[in-house]
Amino acid sequence: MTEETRYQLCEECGAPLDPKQRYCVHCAARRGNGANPASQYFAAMSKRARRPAAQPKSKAGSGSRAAAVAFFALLPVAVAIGVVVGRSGSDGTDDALLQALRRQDAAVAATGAATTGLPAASTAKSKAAKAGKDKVGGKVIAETKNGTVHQITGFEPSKQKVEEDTKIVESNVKQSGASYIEAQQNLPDVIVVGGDPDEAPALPAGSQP
Amino acid sequence: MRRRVFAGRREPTVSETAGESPGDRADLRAQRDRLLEKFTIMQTDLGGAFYEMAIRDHVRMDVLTGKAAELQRVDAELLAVERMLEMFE
Repeated sequence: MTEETRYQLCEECGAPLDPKQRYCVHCAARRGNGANPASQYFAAMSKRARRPAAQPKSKAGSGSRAAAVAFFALLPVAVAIGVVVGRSGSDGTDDALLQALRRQDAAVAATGAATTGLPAASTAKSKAAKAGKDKVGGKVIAETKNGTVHQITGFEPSKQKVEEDTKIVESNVKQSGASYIEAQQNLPDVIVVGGDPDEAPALPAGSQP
Repeated sequence: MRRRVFAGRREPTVSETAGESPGDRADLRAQRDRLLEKFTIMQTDLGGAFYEMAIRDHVRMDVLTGKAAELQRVDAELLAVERMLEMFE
């Protein structure tokens, strides 16, 4: 057996090395045979340092995968339940619901007419507008959402109209607060005030802006 | 004698990294980690080589001094990078 086979040679300087030698004593080069405990220690430490960062990722990945599998497994069940509920709810109950909604609409319309009087009044007024004149007696110019507009020019009120409007004005002056506001909202568009204009009191003198 | 390369690649010098932006700081940290690993391995090798020479009664001070000089260069570079990081952090 030759000396070369008994002793391994250093990779750096070619000096003969003992099998248990970790470093070359000629060039101080480390041997790459893995027998160095320091190298083993560093390798183990680096593995341990990388392991905690990798473990939670794998756990999170398995959890999200399980959630995805559960979602796709339950999706057809949820769709089937939805279809069954939809079919069971469509036989007869839709008609009952529609009838109930129609009844509710009619009730709301009746209530609106009773409280404001506008829909009924506007209907009557529109019929009168077609005829050209209405209860006020003047010529109807336009129908708006707020009521009927009468022409004042050339309007000659009846005696009954003058008395009624005068009463309205007199009673309106005495009202205050909410009742005044309500009375203002139900006034006709044309109010005839009786009396001689020359005998009327002077208008209050206000400051010009 | 062939020179042994520990990290396998040349480390950039401190002047090459500005460290002003967050990206530069991340580069500095990565450079610090590489230098720290290199220094640890070189120091362990120096101690291991001296131990090997001492138990075999074959201590070569010129080789060990050369290794110590390489280790000192890496140590200085590591210190500079750590100072740069302290300045920007």
